[in-house]
Amino acid sequence: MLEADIHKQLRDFSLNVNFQVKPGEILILMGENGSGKSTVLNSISGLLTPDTGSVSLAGTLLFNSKHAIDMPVEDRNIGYVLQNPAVFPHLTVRENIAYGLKARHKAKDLVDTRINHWLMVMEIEELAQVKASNLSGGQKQKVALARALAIEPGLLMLDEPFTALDTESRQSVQEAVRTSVSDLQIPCLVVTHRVADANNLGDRVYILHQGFNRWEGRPSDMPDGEMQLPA
Amino acid sequence: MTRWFLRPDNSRRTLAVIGAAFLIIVVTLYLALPVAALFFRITPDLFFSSLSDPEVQSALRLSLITSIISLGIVILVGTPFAYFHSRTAYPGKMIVDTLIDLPLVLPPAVAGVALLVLYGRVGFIGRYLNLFGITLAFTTVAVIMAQIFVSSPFYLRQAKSLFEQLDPAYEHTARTLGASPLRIFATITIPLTASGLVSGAVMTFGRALGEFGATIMFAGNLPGVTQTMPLAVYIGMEGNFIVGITISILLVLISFAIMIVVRFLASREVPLA
Repeated sequence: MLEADIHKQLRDFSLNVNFQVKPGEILILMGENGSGKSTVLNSISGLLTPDTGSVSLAGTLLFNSKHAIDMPVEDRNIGYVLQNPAVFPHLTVRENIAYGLKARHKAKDLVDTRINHWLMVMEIEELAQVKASNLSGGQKQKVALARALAIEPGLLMLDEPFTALDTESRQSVQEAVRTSVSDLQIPCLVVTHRVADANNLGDRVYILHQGFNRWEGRPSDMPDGEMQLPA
Repeated sequence: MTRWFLRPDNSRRTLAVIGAAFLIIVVTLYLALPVAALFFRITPDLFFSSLSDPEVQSALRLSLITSIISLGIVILVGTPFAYFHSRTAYPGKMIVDTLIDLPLVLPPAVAGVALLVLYGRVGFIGRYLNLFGITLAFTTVAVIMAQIFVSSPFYLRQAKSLFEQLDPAYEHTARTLGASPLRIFATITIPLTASGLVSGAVMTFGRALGEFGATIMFAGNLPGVTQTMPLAVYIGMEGNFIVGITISILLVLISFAIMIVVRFLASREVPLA
């Protein structure tokens, strides 16, 4: 279970969010540009520090302002694909997926098994030895997802992960995300501005407006007004 | 019928083309002729035979050794310095920024005098070092210190701007994947900025190799100890003219090689923000 209670003063408004995501559940974060979506993900990952509040994952406190707890980013075990999928261009696809596992000093056999598994899940086996700088935008997003999932994170967070994908890849990647989240039984947070993505992937939608929660509920219950969010 | 070049629009275009061609030729010749003249001033036989001149060999050896050591120190100290400098806000950062660039505009002779006033036998620091039997001025160490002083901005500026421009998403992602800051620096930051860093390093090496003013002021002109190639050229012009020309040609060849390497590296992409 992810429990987030985040308060942070931003330039134009203050961000105040409070939500939980159950294991195996996918929460879609929506909202117009600059509504604080990425700040929420960055605060949970530890790349940003909230002013006050608390973030806990599977009962472990990652951040708590009252008890002065702020776990380093590298120890949080969160699979996070940023808006720029940041696939390391100087490494091959295989080396990219291995990166987090090697940082954790995992045994070579395990590293190889995990890489092969995620190459297969993302349907990119034939790209294994390709230098990442030579990949298309969609291929990069798949590699970034495989890399984030290979560490078997306690939480998966995706910031606009389907933008560079064509319709067919979008469906297969969404299916892969859904299966992985369900198999690993981890909470998942996805930022997107596409209502279709929210409908296909989300169990619940959380709409942010200027730092506060404007609407929360099942994608199918989303009021028409909320569907016309500016991208 | 009017001839085509007499028509107003054509004649204007022709004039512009002639003007542009003239400018390009003038600038190119101004830069290339003096360099070319060096090669015409000496026969290949004379050039190759004077390569074995002990004066040439000693200056070449000293220049290469001191420039390589200077470059090594600049890279070892400058890379982490530039990284911290570009990633952290600290009081006086603007002043440090200006100081980094200062040697680029400071006349090298002034840099040499400044180093002498500080580290010379009776200098502010030099007099205390002297108590422990340490002498810096007019030694090979002084040559290296002078080279570092004048050449380091080429590397520091380049490294600083590369680290500032690199998209933070790469390092952020590596952190979320569990990599330590040191691992990220070694496996992500440095490889992604490597071609730019190498081109900065090559420019630094070139500047160190060509250093004259600060060296002659702070290190003097002692053959085999502080007489680097540019100093040997100067002395050669007063005595053995052929030696001066030979070393000059060597420096021209090295400069060309440096420019080719820099142009090649500059054409390679860095994933910037």
